[in-house]
Amino acid sequence: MLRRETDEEVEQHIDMTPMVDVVFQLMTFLLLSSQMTGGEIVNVPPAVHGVGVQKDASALVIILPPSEAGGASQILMGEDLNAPRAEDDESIRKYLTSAVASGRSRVIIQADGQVDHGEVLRVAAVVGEVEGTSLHIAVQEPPSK
Amino acid sequence: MNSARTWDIYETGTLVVRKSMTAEWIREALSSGKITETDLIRPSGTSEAWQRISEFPLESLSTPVGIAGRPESHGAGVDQDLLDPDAEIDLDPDSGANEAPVPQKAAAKDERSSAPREALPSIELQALQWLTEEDPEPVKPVESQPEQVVAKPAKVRKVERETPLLEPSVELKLEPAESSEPRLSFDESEDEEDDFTLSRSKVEHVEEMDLAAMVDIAFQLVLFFMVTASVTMIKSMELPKPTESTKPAAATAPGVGTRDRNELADEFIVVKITSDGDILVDDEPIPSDRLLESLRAVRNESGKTGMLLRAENRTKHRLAVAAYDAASEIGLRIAIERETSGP
Repeated sequence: MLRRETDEEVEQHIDMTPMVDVVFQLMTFLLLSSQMTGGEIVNVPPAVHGVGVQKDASALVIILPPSEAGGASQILMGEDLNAPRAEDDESIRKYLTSAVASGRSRVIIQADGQVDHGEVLRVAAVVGEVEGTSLHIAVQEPPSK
Repeated sequence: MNSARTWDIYETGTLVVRKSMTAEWIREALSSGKITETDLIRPSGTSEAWQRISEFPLESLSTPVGIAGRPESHGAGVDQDLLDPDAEIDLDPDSGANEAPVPQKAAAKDERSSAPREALPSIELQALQWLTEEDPEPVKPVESQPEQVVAKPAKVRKVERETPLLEPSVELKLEPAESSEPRLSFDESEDEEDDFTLSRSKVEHVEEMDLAAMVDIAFQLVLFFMVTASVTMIKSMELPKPTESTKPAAATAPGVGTRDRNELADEFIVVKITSDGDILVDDEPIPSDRLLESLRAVRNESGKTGMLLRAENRTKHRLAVAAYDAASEIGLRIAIERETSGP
C-alpha cells in the first residue's frame, strides 16, 4: 500500500516553453513569407539585370493595364492598389515633388508588362521634369529555367 | 524497518523523484553537486512530509533506524553552550546531550543506545550553524570558483573519517591537482572545526539564469529583421531620365540630350520594336528570342557603344524591358527615343 502511493508521485512534467517558442517562430516566418510572395500586385516584366532598391527610400508609381479593351491605363501614386489614382500629369508631378522633399528621390515605375511602352515613357517624362529624381523601372526575377 | 533504510530524493531543480536512494549515494551526490541541499528528502515507503536536505539530520543517513521520530526531536536538545567553539559535545549516553565532552568516532556512535541517537541531530545542527557563521576562514565572495571547490574535499574527508562508507576515491576526484592554496593543506585544526557537516557554504548557492529564453528571442529578432529587410527591396533597373524637349523624334541618354537621328545612328545600335512585337536591329528583322545574340554581333562588328530603343507607343512594356535587359547584359548604354506623334 505504501509502495503504491510513492509510485503515484512520479510525475513527468513536459516543459512546453520551447515548443511554444518554436511555434511562434514558425508563425512569424509564415506570416511574413506569405506576404512576401503574395505582395506582388503588379506583374512587372522579368529581367536578369537589376539592383535592389529600398522600398522605404523610394516613391512608387504603379501603372496597370486598362481594365477594359481600349481604355486608358491606370496610374496609381503609392505602393498598393489603394493608392490615389493620378488623373493627369500634374498630380503625378505634385506627388513626386513631395516625395523628393521627404527624401524619397528614387522613383520606381512599377508597370505591368502589358502596359503600353508609350504610357511608361509619358510617366518617365514627368519624372524627368521633377528635379532631384532618378528613374527606375521595376522588374522581377525571371522564372528559373 | 527495511523500508527506512533508503530515502526518496525530490530534485526541485529538475522535478525528478529519485526513489530508494542509499545513504552513500546521497552523500556522494551532495558532494559532487548532483543534488543540492535545497532538494527534498524523505524516507522511502512513507508518506511523511518532504524536508529539505539542509534541514534533514544528515548524520541519520547512516543510521536509518528511528528516522520517523527524528523531525520531532529537532532542537529539543539544543543548548546555547554548543554554539561556543570551545564547548565539547557529549555523546555519552549517560550524560545526555546538554553537556559536552570530546566528540567520538562514528564507529562508536553506531553501537550506542537509542537515547543519545535521538539527541544527535540537534547537536549536529548546532555545530553546522556554528561552522557556517563563525568559520574563521569563510569563503569570501571575491574568491574565484576553484577556491570554492577546494573547500569541498575538506568536508568530504571529514565525513569519510566519521562514516567509513564513503570511498576514498571521491576525495581524490575532487582534489584539484595543481592547487597550492593554503586551504588545501587540510591542517588538523581546520579538520576539527569542520566536523559533523556535509553542508556547503552558502556562497555556493548560485542561482543560474536560464539563457534559453533569451536565445529564443534573439533568434526570433534575427529572423524577423532578415525577412523584413528582404521584403522592402524592389528589384529595378535604373534608366536615364528623359530630358525636356519639344522637338519631335528626340532621344534621351546620359550626356546625349536631343540629337539628330542620323547622328545617333552612328553611336547607337537602333533597336526598333513595333506594336505587333516585331524586333528590328539596325533595320534587320530578328526573332524576338535572338535579340541578345544579334545585339552582341552588331556591337562586335560596328563597335557601337549604346542601344537606342525606338519603340512604338503601343508596344508592350514587357518587350521594351527585354531590350533594356539585353543591352545591360552586354554593357551597352541605353537611350530611348520618344515618339511624340501617335503610331
